[in-house]
Amino acid sequence: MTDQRKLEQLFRQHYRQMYRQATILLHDDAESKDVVHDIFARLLDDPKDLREETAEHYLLTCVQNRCLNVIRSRKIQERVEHLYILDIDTTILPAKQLDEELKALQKVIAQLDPPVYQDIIIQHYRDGVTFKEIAQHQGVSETTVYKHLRRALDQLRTHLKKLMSV
Amino acid sequence: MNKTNLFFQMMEQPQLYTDEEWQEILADKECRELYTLMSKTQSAINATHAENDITDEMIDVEWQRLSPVQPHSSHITIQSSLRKIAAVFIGVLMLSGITLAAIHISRHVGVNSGAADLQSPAQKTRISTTRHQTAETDTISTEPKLYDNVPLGEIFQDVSNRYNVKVVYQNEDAPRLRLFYRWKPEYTLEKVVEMMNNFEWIQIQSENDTLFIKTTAIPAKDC
Repeated sequence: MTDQRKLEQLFRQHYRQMYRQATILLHDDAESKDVVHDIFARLLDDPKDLREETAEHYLLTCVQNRCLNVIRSRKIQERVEHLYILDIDTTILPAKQLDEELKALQKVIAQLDPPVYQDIIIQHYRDGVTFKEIAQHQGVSETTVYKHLRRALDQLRTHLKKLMSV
Repeated sequence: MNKTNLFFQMMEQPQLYTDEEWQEILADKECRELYTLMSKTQSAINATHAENDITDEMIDVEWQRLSPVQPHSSHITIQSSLRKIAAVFIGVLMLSGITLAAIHISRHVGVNSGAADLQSPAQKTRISTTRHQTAETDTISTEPKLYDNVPLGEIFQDVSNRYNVKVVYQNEDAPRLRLFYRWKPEYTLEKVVEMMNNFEWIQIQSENDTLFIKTTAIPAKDC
């Protein structure tokens, strides 16, 4: 009972952080919730690896390992579909650096100009609208959307480099 | 069509292209860089969502999904079990009373029915005292089963029992390969095979109630 209450406390304390870490890697709400769920389901069953002093680091490492296993288990088409990182076996993610980069990226997405670039990025990556649908909606050809997307990504890359080098 | 446009088009429907086509396009430096940037953009947008949209209520719901046993419920269950035991006990007393009366009416019939009646309340008592435990075991067996870093041999022992199929390993280290897998009771055998085949290093063929399993690589460790 005490164990369960302690776990509940850890769950509430670290949920957002764990979910955030999972969704950064898996890009999927339900799957990210499942990852956190499974980690705690196992801990409720067998909490012996968990120490209070190292709980945060332990939980986040679990999230990362599990997410990478999910990614590993997928075929290339599924990896690409979910925009999973490609070089999981060679890239170790330094959490802090990644975090800074994502924060910077959030900033530069908000600054995309002209606004049509931002629309494409937000509609596609936040709302899941396909490029084809965006083209139809804007009354332009798909090639035009690709051209804008290309320029939007170039802008993100340039601004991101500037921000990260500061 | 230029390469990046082809790449964007492929990104729209990844399933339409073969492994080789993907490997080829992602071997292109420019396309790979664009992919990485798209992947990071997706991560940044998901992180924004995680920071802004996860409410305390959602966390409550997620915790409840984890813990079917509520803080007070065990207390209540014990109380209600006690009440049930008491009820059964009164039942037994009443039945013995009736039996006693029956013996008076007809000795022969009374003895027979008395024995049968006394046996069943006794069983009832046992069931009700173990009710809490039984309920817990039931929940486990009807809920999804999580294999966390469990050898393939163990997982397929369960699969074999559950779906009544034979399992043949085609390479000797196959049963030792460890896996993270979530099984759900509604899965058909076909679904399990399909899911397992999604793992790059596992190949399963199903023939006449036999699963032939081959593995190709050793996966990294889970925590």
